Amino acid sequence: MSEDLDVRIRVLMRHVVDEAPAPPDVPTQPPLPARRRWPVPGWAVAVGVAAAILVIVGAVGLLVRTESAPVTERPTAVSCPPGATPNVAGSGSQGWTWSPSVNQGAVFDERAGRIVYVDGEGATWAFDVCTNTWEQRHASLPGFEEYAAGDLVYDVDSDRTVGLDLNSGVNVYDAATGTWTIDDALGDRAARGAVYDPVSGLVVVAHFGGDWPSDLFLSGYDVDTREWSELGTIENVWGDSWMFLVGYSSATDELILHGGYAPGPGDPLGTQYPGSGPTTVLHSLRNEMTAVLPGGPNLFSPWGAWYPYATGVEGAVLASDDTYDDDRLCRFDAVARSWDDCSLDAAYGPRRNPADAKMVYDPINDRLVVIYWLGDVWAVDLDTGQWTELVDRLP
Amino acid sequence: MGMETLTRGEVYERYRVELTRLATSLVGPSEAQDVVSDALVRVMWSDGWDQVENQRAYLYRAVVSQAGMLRRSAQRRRERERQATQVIHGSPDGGVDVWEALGHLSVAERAAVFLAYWEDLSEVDAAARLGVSERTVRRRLGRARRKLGRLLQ
Repeated sequence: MSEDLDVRIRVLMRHVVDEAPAPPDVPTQPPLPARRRWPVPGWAVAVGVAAAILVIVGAVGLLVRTESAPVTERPTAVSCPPGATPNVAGSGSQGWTWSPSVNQGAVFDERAGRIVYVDGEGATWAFDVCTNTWEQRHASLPGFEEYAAGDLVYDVDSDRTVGLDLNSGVNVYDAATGTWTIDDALGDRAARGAVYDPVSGLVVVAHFGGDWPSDLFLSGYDVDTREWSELGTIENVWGDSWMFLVGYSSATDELILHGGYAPGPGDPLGTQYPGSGPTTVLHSLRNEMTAVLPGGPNLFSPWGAWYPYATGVEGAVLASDDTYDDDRLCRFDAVARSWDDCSLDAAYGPRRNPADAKMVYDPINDRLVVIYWLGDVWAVDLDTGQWTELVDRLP
Repeated sequence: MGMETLTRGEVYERYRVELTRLATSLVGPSEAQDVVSDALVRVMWSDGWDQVENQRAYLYRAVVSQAGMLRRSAQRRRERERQATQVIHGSPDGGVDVWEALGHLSVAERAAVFLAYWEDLSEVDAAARLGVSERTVRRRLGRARRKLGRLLQ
């Protein structure tokens, strides 16, 4: 039977190959970068026109980034409306009534220019980074389960936000209408982070699952077609460790995965997780790891790491240090392939467990926004490390 | 053995037929050319191409990766492939839709089957070509054989 099956498969493959078309013509000169371009919203066009006028009249002061050019065009940064005070705390709790929980999700919606946030009870909120105010957009995520909003990813192609339910499914949020739909099933995949890949246009999800739980799989989800693609496997190296997909670098076109846990007061031998300590893995999305880098910040839970979208060569992680309550802000330089010294904590914020927070990059104000589960919202200045409270915690 | 230095055009000329066959086995004839073209443009003109030692293996991995990332419009793809489908006459089971059979395999499994059953590579050589471990190839082939075994009985 075995040999018979082999013969049948060979015959099948012959039929397959017989249908192969002629090889395509491939250019012999370097093509223009075949990158998917980020959509340019109306306000960005307006800003572009205004910038052009400024150049024409000889205005100075425009800064042009000339360091290693990212291959993917990012949305043009936009300013808040005249009179806005994005660094001044918003007034009151602004109807902020959600139930505290660590099972939240947050992401910056690039077209809407607001943060999409799902609280621990499944309610969806929009945070305006110019006025520092909340608006409830949806009362309850359909089919909401624990961890339902563990990872939110803004899908540029479809202009929708993808929420990865760590238990059972993929939820898709349309910010224009404030509606959610349950789109597909994750099956037995337990998500360990997700990012948007501007090259393929897929939401890339890292997950365990299948017959070999020691492997970490990378899958791509297409919001438009509701299909999954296999993108690669990181095999058998970290076992059941806390390895997470924390970001995508447009500068190097690589995924950044980070995890592991170094010895500390609660785990003196570092045996609770791999004793080798934190490790960063870079993955090309061409089914290959491009670097394995020892070191970097400790991450102790899936909620301990966030990577703000497309910050050029930098990504930030809010991580625990040696103790449960000591949060530190560390940045990863994807070009230099190294972590900084976590010095952005020069002026500490609330110093609470980072597992209780979500952090996103706010491209409008070029800052990080950290939302804690008690309802307080903080901004982190990327140059000075200064923390500014944007919304007071709930009474 | 000295490393042969080939231009990009020469590399492509040497491997284009087998890469297109590989892509056909991964995504079907209607998408194969696009996959090969996109994969090669992406890797051959990247900055690091000149440092790639095993260019053939690298191109294989690029095609497999591109096939995995291919953005499919499910309905459009099904329709195209339905049109391209040929029922195997006199095939091992007397009438299996080859694309439907392959549709039960993942891209990675299809690549392993292609290398093992079309190119007659050993598991060791297939693993080297795909840049994965021998164990990975073995289990992908095992899964593929189980799936195809049910369909081809």
